[in-house]
Amino acid sequence: MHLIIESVGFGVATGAVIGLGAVGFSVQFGISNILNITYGALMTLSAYVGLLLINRGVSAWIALPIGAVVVGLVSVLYNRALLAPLVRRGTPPVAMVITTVAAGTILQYVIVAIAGPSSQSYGEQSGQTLHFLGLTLSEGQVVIIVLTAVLMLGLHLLLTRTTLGKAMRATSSNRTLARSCGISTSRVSDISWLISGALCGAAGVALAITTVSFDFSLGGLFLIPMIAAAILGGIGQPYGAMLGGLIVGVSSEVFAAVSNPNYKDIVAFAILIIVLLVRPRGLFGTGSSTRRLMEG
Amino acid sequence: MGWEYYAVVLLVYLGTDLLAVWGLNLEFGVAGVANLAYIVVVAAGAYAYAVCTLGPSSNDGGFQAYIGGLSLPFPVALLAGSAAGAVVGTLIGITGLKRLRQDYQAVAMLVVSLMIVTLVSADSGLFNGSTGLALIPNPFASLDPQTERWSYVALVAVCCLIGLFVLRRFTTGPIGRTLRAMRDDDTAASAAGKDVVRLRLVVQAVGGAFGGLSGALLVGFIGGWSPSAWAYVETLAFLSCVIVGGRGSDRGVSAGTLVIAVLLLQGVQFLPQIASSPGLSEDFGWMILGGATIVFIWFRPQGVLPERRPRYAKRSSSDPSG
Amino acid sequence: MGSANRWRVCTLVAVATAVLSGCGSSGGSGGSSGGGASGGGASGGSQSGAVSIGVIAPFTGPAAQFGKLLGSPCYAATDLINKAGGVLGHQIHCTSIDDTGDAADAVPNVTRAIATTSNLDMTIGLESNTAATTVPLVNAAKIPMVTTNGLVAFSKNNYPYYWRLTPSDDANGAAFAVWAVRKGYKNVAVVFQNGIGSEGNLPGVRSAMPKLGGKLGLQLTIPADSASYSSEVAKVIAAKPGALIWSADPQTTATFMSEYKQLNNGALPAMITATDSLTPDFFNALTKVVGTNYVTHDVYLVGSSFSQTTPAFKIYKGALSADPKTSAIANVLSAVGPPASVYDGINILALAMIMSKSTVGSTYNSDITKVVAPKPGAVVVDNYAAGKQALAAGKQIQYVGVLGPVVFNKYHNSAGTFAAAVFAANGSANRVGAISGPQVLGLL
Repeated sequence: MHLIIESVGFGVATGAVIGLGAVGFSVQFGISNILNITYGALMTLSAYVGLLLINRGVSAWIALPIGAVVVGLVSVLYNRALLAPLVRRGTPPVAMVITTVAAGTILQYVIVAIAGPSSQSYGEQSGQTLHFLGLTLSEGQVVIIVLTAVLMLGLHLLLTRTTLGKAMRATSSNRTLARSCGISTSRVSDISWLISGALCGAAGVALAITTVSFDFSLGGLFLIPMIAAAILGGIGQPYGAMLGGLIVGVSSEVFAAVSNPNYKDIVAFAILIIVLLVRPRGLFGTGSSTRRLMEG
Repeated sequence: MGWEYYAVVLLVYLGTDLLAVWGLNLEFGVAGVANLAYIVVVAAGAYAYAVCTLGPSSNDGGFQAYIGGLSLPFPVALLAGSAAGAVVGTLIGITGLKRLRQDYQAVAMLVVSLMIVTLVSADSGLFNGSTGLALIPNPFASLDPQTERWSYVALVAVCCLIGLFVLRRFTTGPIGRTLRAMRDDDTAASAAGKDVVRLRLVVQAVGGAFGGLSGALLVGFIGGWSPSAWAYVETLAFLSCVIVGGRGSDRGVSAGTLVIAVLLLQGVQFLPQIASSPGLSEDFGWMILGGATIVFIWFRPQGVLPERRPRYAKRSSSDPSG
Repeated sequence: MGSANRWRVCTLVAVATAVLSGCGSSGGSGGSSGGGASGGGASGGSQSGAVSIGVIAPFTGPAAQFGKLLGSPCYAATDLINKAGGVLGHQIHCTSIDDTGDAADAVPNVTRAIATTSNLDMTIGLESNTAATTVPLVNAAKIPMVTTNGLVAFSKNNYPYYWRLTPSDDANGAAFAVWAVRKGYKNVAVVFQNGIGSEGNLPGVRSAMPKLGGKLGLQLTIPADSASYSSEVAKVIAAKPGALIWSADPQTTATFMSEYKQLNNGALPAMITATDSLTPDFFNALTKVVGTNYVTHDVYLVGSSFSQTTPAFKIYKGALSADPKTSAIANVLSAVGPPASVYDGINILALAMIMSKSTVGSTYNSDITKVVAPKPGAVVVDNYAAGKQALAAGKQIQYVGVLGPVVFNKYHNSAGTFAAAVFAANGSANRVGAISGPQVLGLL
């Protein structure tokens, strides 16, 4: 029993990182309506940028915002140069997904070609171990949980209290209507890609810190749990994505504690499939996002 | 032995790749089902063939564990592989029946593919886990080596000819037209009285049968099969054959297979090796493959040899407000 | 129908292109003279041009560093052979054949190499995962192969061209158990990464531990490269092992041990692992997260090994240090068995070539056992040059190299001796104890 309580704690720590990535993915989909599989390779990119900085003596906690900024900018460029033009030409959604898969493959193999296939590490970042409430967490894990919560709050305030946020929500809900109301949808689009790309970058570095040792497949490994979390929470809903992340994280770790750990990864996959088959709009999905999910 | 053996390898790989791409083209190109889990039906065929020909798992010191373990003659085993592909294809197809937007379906399929890889890798008793199966017997092993090799090429060629004959029944004529109608607008198709659900499942079964046969033939030749041989990027490789070649067109995707699977992925291995990074040529292969896919989606989505169809006025595509 | 004719033309073109694309200029691997391969089927006579040694190993994929590392002793052997005048007047060199760690890719790569490499008369096989498909291929091409894979499947086999100088995995497992108990760890936990090929060790550990008065407390398989092993670590800690018998890639190891340290209040159990872990990747990954002190004191690498004081060893080490391709890792390479078996294997096969006066595999293969068999009046030689000289003078030889005396059983396997080593601060390793071969085999 003690083991299970402990694994809940582990699950919260992993879940926070998954949630962070899931929120970025969710926001990106909300605005662009594209299931961007390149997200995984972009997280890997961020992790390696962080590695570059760490090897020059920069602290991992400074590398995190830098990685976020880098991937944010790359995401904006990526959308402008490849994705938006393809959408304008009427490329069907399946071809868009295939495009993002192909782009992710290219990026991943470029990283391998440059940095090599060996595993990398930021070194020991966890700090002290804290015991409370029957949980065992490290300082590093607590920092990431707090950071994720703060970013969530910031995003919530942005979306609900600022004009930009309102414009983003309007564009997400109904692009044509938003444009006819005078909202510069392409500018809103750029900013959304910047923000969601930044979350992607932050998630990449946070992953590298949490997982201690990683290689070029880092982003790809965690993309599916993040998509699962995003869809579970309701695609386009940041809070839902966060909650989804926690659920995915905790259920995986508890499963590993009570059963065969080799099947741990399947939990995230199964959650995704079940949600898609049973309730595609997830926990908090609203009508507009559901409509987009269904055909026609 | 040299070059001749290598030519045999290329021909066998070309033949098995053609069968797989034809099946995927039927599903995706003609019927519009975005099956990103296609490689799983190939694996199903390979594993089915393996456990039908390997004999009991206690052989060879019992170093590998697997279910089944029969020693059937190879034509039966090939049929078993094809059937396994059809069954698995249909099961995967059932998960896609829910009326989700196509790209969601695609991602769901992708996830199914990953899930099955994880399951098979983790359960060592099923198909010997991550290590995979080895020492699968070659059906012509009793012949002398040269006859053995070319007999296998002949076998693959015969299967391809039969496959092509069956394929044309589905991709041309009335069935082909119905499938394309379903692809382009399934509401209209069902309004016209076509049972879309049944059609979709049939397509998944037939496509799966092609994939299963492909896997079975390949594994009988190589003699070994493991999860790393059917990672999800392999579906991307087949997809790019379909996209580059011309989706919906049998001739087109055959050309695409030749270009991508044979010329590109084997061709890069002939680039001079850089001693410090021996894996670079393989990385290049994947980069070029991804790049080619994107280039074609951008510039020529209909592929090199497009599908020949009667042209009607096109309705406008995706409504941005969803 | 017009389209049917077009189909036929297309198919013909496709087939022709397939055949032609297989020909064409040979790539980077390849000997000096003409492109055509020397037939494996041809018997007798010699060939023109340098002899190629094919090193079949993963050079891409997750085990990539493994391949590069363990293929390096080939250079040491060929440097010395060429300095002594080559084999039957031919120079000899190493070429890499990437088996990618995956059977479906290994087959075309190996067959292409056999097709395009001139005078491919010797091969070295390194990996266990693909051995089951590559060994039969090479054997069918009648090319002798020295392999370091540990598969128990090859302990009894029918491949005449297959030769192994290192022990099988279950023997290694028993050696782990012997060392654990000797160091006072009677309760061990066995943790293996899923699919790494170390499952072969398990029967040996299971069999040996109780016979030595010890206990196998917990046996766990963990998935590779996971973000967190916290739940698995908690299970292991609960079993309170004195030592972990461990096998996993560097990344998995680093994540796991770092979480173990964090969850166990900074204390770590000893680790006993195979000599496969003696790689810079493993050393760096682990020291970066748990510190050098643990890695240099409590991590034991157990496997086939040899004495480091013999003249044979000094010559081997000297060659490794002298070649710029291998000097940086000379210390790492010279501490453990499998690389040395590559070096010894090449020497033995080269001497067999001289004995049979042919570089063609089907001819010299039968002389391989004669090179190492003890016989009255034979000159004992510990390096290639001495062997060449003795044979030229018409004498019989017995090659006793870095690994010591080689005794091939009827399945062409020779087990060797075992030893334990620890990492040194610079990533190389130092031997700290020997484990008797017969004792190990007796525990199986």
